[in-house]
Amino acid sequence: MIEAHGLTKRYGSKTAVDGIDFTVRPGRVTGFLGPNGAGKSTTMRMIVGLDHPTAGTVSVQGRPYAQLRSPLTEVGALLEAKAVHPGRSARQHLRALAATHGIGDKRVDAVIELAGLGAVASKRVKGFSLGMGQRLGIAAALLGDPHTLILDEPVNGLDPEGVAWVRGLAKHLASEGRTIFLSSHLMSEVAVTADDLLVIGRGRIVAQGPVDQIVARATSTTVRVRSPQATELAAALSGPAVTVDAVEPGLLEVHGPTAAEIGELAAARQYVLHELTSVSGSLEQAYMSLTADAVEYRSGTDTEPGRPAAAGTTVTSTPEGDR
Amino acid sequence: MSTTTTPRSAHAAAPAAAATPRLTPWHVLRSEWIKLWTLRSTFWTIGLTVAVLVLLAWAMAASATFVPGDAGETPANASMVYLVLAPGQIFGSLVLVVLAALSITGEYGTGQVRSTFAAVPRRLPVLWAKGTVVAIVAFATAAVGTALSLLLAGAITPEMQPDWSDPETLRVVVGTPLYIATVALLGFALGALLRNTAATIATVIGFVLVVESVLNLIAWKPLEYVRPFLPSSAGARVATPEEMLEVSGQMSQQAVVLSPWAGYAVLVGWVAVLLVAAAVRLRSRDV
Repeated sequence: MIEAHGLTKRYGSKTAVDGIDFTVRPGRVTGFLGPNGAGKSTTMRMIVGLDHPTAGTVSVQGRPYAQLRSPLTEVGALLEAKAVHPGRSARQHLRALAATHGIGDKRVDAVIELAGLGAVASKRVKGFSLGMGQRLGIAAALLGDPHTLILDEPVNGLDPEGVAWVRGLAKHLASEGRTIFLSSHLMSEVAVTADDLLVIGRGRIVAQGPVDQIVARATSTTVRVRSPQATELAAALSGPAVTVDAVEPGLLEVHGPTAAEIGELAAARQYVLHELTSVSGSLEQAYMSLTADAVEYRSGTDTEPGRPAAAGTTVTSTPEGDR
Repeated sequence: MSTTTTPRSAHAAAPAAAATPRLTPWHVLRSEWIKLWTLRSTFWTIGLTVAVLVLLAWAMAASATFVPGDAGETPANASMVYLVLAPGQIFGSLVLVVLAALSITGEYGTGQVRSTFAAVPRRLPVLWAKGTVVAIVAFATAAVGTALSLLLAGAITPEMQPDWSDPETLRVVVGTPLYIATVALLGFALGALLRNTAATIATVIGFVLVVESVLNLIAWKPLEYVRPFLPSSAGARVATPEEMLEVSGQMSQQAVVLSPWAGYAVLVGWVAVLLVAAAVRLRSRDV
């Protein structure tokens, strides 16, 4: 269980994390989603006490991390690849970390095997690929057999087998009642692994809830209808499960019914249609719509395909867009 | 659990026999001990230190053989021993400064420090444990180097064999590794404060070799109050015989003449102040 209250981190005039509140529950995989620079890593570093919050608190099992008697058995953290001295071998690195808690070599060998590092354990980390460094980081996180696992971009640099391993491991550990908190900047990655979602943009939580709920809404289809009789059509479509937005005169965006249903209705009522387009909402679009106002580094060309699906229904608090 | 797709349990192989894992200062010390001995730079710097001490002692002893049968009064035994050890005191300590500084700045330079402080979130136990390990290893290295230096020098020039009944000789012999290890610890403390290898080594070497020498040479009255408290000059008094202290006192006047052990205490004081500053920074800053 990880709890944050009003957690804030400022670097000079720049606010990296802006008074966020959240709870990460045991027995579930919680995905921490956000664009680059949104504050994911800073938040995770504050959880394990590497960064001091400017304001607010964050606790693990009800206590600040630094006050835990045995931090490694409470929390295992993979914060960034290669937080390791490159001159040591993987085994030596793990042995040194394990020694701080009196964890024996048997456990060190066990996590080496678990992370698939057996063949390279005695090689110096200097020559490790990104994926091997990532496996070493995960092995280190597992050393204390912790109740809570914090993984920052765990699948970064992993091959497909490694990605599948991390997903399986996260789910399995959660099924044992542990708290799993993993970050990603890819919605598609988090969607297949996580049970809950915490979406952060520009230092603020923009959405949180069970992932299937968010996904269900995110994948709902929007149908764009252009018709000279838009007003009449809108009236005909209206129902409890239907939302109709009049984007501009003669153009509607309809959420709920499919394009086929709208077309059949229009035919039955003899309305003229100039356009009937199904705009499918993808996970990525939903994610982009959630964080659209909160992207720190935007690419030069705006590739946003039309207006994304209305995932805004799951938004618990929207960032105050400044433009 | 029987399906092949289920990952092996993370705790399936957890040690049943081992005691409950617990973060203790003793465990942190053990961790730092492992860390030191799993880096190649440790072996390089230790080997180099011993080599520097022994080679310089050999050079001193070999050159001393050219002045046998001097008609003047023989120098005190402590001074003979000091001649053997003096060059190594400066250069041996500077090599060990590299070892000491690297033990902490290497962690910042590589990112290792984040793993370290995630495991020991209170951080200060790491500083004390590292300092202890560095002090022990630096002293042991310097002691071995000193012993080998004296054996070699004594074999070459019998007059240079230490007279163990002379308390001053004993002080110079024991003071040498003590001074060397404490200068190394100065490098460690500064490294913990600056968090940067190059800056730390340059500062210590520059201060010891350049700044202190210059301050000892410039004939400017107010400097007489500064000289007694320069870390390396003061600390070296513990490894310098009285005869030599008098000579250097005449060359550069000092407002206060510290006893050998008081001088060493000044060096220890510098280390203590830097360690406290490093501890404060360690607690308050992000890593």
